[in-house]
Amino acid sequence: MTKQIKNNKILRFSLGSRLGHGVQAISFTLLLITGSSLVFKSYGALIGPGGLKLFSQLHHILAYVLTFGPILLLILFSWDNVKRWIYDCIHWTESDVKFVAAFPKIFFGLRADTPKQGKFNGGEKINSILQILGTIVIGISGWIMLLGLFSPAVAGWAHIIHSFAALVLSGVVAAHAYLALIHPGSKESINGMLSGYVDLDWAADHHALWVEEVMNEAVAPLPAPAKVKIKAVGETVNV
Amino acid sequence: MAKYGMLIDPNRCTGCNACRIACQMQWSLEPELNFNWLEEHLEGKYPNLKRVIVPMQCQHCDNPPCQTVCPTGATYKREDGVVLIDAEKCIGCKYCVSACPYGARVINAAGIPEKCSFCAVHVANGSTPACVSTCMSEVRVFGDVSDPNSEISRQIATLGAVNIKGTSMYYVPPREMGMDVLPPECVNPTYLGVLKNISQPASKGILGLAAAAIATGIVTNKIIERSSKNDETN
Repeated sequence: MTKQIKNNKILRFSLGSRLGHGVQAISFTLLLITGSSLVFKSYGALIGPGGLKLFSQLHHILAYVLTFGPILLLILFSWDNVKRWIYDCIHWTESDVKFVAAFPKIFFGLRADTPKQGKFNGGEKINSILQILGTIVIGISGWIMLLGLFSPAVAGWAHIIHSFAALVLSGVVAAHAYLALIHPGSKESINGMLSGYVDLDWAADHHALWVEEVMNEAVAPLPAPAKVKIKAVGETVNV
Repeated sequence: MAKYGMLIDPNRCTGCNACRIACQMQWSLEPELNFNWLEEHLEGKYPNLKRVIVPMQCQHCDNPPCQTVCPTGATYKREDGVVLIDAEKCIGCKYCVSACPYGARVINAAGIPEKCSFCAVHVANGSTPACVSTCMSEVRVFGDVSDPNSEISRQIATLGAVNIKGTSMYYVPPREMGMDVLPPECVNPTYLGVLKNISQPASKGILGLAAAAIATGIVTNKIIERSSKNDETN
């Protein structure tokens, strides 16, 4: 057994992936709290012009954290996992599609039969794609407004896109947090983002193809001897 | 209650820019910042040229888009028609810059989008706006348009000036060219319509749906969990 599996637990996310996710989650939440004060009038009125001024300054500082933090952490410390993650998000299988079809039932706690899933199921792939694209759209539109190098008309459209994408992505994030923290079937997954390890039985239940893959790697035969030269038929010599 | 307005006669304007510079001096503006400016329109080919110079500025709209979009109420309209900015309340979001149909907002060194205030503080002390008093050609008249005996009301009638619809401004039709060289009527820019009527309601709706789905999910999961436990004990 490799160190990927120990004490009936299986390693789901590396430290670099967890750090990248954590910085994304915390900075996104703080940016939502500070930014939405300009969207919801009663919220803005509650904190007043002084509060709004402070929030806008915090928002502009946090913009650097969300723009550069996760991407740098992921590239520097978890690049191989990121490559695999993006590959998985782009490559859809029949079992992903079947999972997405059954997802509404799963979300509300109804019984649903789904085929074996890989490391990321169809729902997680959709979430990943929305998070990546949403963050890029929000980032670009935000920097257009913040830098102030563009015409008022361009800044206006950036404002529309920025607040629309941010609110829609917040809905996705809320559903994501519900599944990770509250939903009885999937809340085990939060441990994968905290300690890195999830329960092996849970993983076998929810991500059978991935567990099989890790198991096969773990019991794969040792690599063949370094070099084998065939000198003559029927005669082999180890070098 | 007075209702302030300004009359501008482009036919008298020589393009000397004294109004722009007097305003800059009155408000100690940086050389590149202007609360008013001149738009020159040329038509035809030499020697048969037509030329109109139209003085432009904040039109002090009746329902200012810059006020609609302001999240803190820093931009406000007084009962006398003057649109002003409370710098204390301004958070520098610049939404008003995108919302203004006339491009009248300029951002000062402190990051606050400012504009023409009809020289409200000086008018309160009995003087006229700097652009009006400095103009040698008497292009501009400022005053109370609700008083039929005021100078501005009499001049509007005499010169046949038209009100730019939805604003506090009156322009004399240019002799040489059509009305289209004058500022357009005040309509909310597309930006404001899309933001207030489409993108914000839609995104709030989607967020609300997500919240409702999550709340329902919490309840249904609890019910199903409980009923399956009951099944086990029975």
